Amino acid sequence: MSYAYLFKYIIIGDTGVGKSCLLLQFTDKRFQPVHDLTIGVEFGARMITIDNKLIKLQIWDTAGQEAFRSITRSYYRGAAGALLVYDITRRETFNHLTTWLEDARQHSNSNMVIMLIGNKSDLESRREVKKEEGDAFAREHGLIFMETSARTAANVEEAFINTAKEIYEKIQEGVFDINNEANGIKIGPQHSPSNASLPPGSQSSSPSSGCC
Amino acid sequence: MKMVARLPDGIPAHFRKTLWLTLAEKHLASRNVNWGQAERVLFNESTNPDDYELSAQIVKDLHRTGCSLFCGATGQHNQALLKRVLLAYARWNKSVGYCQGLNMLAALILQVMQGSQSATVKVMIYLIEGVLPESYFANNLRGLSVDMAVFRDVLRIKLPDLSRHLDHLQHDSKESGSSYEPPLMDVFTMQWFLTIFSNCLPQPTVLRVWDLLFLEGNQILLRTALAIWQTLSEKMLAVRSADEFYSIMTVLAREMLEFGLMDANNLIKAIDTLTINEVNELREKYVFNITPWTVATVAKKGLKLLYPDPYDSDDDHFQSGSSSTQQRMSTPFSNHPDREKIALDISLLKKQYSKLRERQRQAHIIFTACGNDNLNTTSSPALNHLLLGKSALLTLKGRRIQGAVPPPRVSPKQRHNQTAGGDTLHWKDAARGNTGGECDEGTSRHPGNTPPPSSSSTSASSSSASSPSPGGSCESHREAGDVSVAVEESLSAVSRSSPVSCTSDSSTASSSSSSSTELCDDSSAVPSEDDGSAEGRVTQDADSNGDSPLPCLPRSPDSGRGGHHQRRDSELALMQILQENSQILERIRSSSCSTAIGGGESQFSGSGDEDRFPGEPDDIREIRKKYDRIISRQASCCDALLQPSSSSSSWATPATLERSHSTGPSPGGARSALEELRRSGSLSPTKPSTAPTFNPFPTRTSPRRRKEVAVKLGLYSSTSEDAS
Repeated sequence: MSYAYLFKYIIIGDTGVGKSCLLLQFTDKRFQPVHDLTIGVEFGARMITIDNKLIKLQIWDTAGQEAFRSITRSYYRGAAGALLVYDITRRETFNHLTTWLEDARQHSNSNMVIMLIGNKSDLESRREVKKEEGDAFAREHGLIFMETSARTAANVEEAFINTAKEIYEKIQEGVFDINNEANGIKIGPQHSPSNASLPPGSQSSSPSSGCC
Repeated sequence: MKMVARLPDGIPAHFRKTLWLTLAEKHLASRNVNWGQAERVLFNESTNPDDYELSAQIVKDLHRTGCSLFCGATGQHNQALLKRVLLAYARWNKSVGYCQGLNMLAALILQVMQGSQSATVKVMIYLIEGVLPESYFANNLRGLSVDMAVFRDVLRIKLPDLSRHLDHLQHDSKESGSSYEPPLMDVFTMQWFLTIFSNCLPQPTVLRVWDLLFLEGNQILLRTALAIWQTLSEKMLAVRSADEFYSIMTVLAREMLEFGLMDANNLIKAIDTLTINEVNELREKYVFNITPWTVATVAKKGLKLLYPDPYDSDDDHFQSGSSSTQQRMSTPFSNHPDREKIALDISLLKKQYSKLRERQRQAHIIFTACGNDNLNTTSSPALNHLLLGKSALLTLKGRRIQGAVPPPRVSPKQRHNQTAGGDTLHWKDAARGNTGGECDEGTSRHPGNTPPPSSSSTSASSSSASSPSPGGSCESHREAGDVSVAVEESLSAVSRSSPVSCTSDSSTASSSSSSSTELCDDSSAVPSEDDGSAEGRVTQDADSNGDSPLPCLPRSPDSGRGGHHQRRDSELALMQILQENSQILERIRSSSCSTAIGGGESQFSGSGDEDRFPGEPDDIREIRKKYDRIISRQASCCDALLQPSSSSSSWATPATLERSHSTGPSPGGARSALEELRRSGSLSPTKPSTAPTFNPFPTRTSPRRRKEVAVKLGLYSSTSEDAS
């Protein structure tokens, strides 16, 4: 199956905010409460359609622990989109956003589309970070914002797809130079080789995927 | 026992616990650990402030260990055990603390140790500190990064087809106009190494791999990964894009974990046959040059493209060392991690030296090549010191013996000269040299100078190189620097004697060469700025040395002369070397300090492992010896180069140069070193100089001229030395 574009994403954020769960929900449409933690980086992929064009999302899920930062950074660079995730039930994960954002901006290309995600929106009773706060942070830093729940799948599709739309628009506007290395966009192969050796739904997360 | 581990079915399960535990206890005994005492602290129920955060993180991961024993209701007890074990290890080794991935290791060990938390911690200590390479879990996983780089090389050697194919996929995706791609296999190799295959292979196989690891050491990591890639290689060779590689590997990895893609016995056999001889060399090669994770940063910032900062985690290293020094007081047993650290510092230093030696060889050629071309780039005295440096740099680039030596990375060993080299002398020398002219002040800066015994001219630099040093550290460095100046000067002498080259006054040549040296030396303080301006695309390096006093300058007008990329590169290489060298020296100094501290403390720590410290001075001594050897080799290499020259009658010997590394140069750079130098009368040399006096590097450069320029440039104010 041939795709028009391939977008590379990274998912970043503190440990335990639900990065891997979001990925698993998006790629496999399931939620796995018990799972291994992410060591280093893990890989997931899925096809989506925008503007009648097939787009392959290649998603890098990163380990949240500080020690892994220097290793995961090398995956920032080739990314066209980033999901910056915090946990609405843990204030400190929201407080660390600035650090993450700086890190991402510093190590990635400047056109990278960043989507801010407040995850675990199903846990309304334990909410520590108001939606408005996330909204304000996103506006202040020029991010797209969304609250999601990897458990209920609420907004998960939208989060990934809206990011892709934003990237797609940027390509249409000519902001992204698709021939430029390191902006995380690849034009699909002219005729489809064995890229589709796996059906899109199953091209997903690595052995120990799961969520946070 | 090693034989047993390789037999079909390996070590019997019931014996495994005994084996691992015995090995671990042997390790602890070799470190003179009082386990009873340690255990009390490690498993202390009362919490100290650090524990809260640690526990929070550990608890978060307890149910994520991927091991059924720790899930569900029955897992509660095991999770509590695991938590205590991880907390205990974090208390034991604060530089590691808790790192994700340790939970998987601990879970597996706990299982083998049949739930004994004390035994589990022992085995963990042995595994992390006795078996795995240094800093596997500390310092931003530096050791892991090294091993990943090493493994890429190993793959290149052992499975060239696969390696080439993967490289091709990686670069192909680049060429097709898309994106930056990290080395493809890294994602998987990283996980395998960090969890020691526990989330990659079925557990019975993992345990057998671990048996081998405990018995034969950490090479097993690489050999196992190699065996796995070998098994997968056929499938991988059929893959046609990076994207496809990741998709297929993801599926294969899952199969491997769940069904065991390969028979355990075959895997063990493969591990056994795949011996890798190069591991140690490769690890040494990479330990100071872990690039993959900083490249992106570096490229992004436009900094140091040639040598992505290998030091980025070193600061942490030292900081954590010192902070744990403080807490050592309260928990006596916890000396070990700290000491480990200090020991580690030294071993790192050693490794860095060997790396430097290599680079020296490369830089030598640059230097010698520069030595003989003549360019009058230092024509304008109305420059500030930076511009002076600039033009010198360019001179450096511009000058080459025609056809004599191929450009940057070719041959021998010359480079500690400049690098080790003094920050200080060059400033003066260079500056003086620039004015050129009368030669009457060869000894003016050093009241105690002995006249040069051998060669013809009164090179200030060479005479000072051989003079007994009145000062302490900066003096000794100065000498090394002098030698490098002298090398260049003698090289220019070669060019003088050769009919081919000289178009301009060779004293100018030598002076400019010395000023280039000086600039280089100064670059120990402002390395990246220099890189930056030389490179024309590099911006200021905020984190290089912290104290860079000089701003980034645009290229000097002369820059057109040295347009070749090679030259630029070699220039950058030189800068890097110089910077590194000064950092090393600095580090030696600080590690001597910490040695002193540690030694002091061990007296009252009373845990009986004092013997760790007495070793360290030896280590330093050893490094110094190596250093000497390098320098002497340089000298002999220079000698060879200068054979045709009649003027190269004598050479700096190791003895002469020995002092050059006795302590580090001040990282503040040439200026502060200069000031130090001026005060040097009050400093006592760390190693009294007993070196015979040689004047190895004849030159026509006039010290007085240099001084004049220096005065003009405001670099050199009259001192009592000059009064004489």
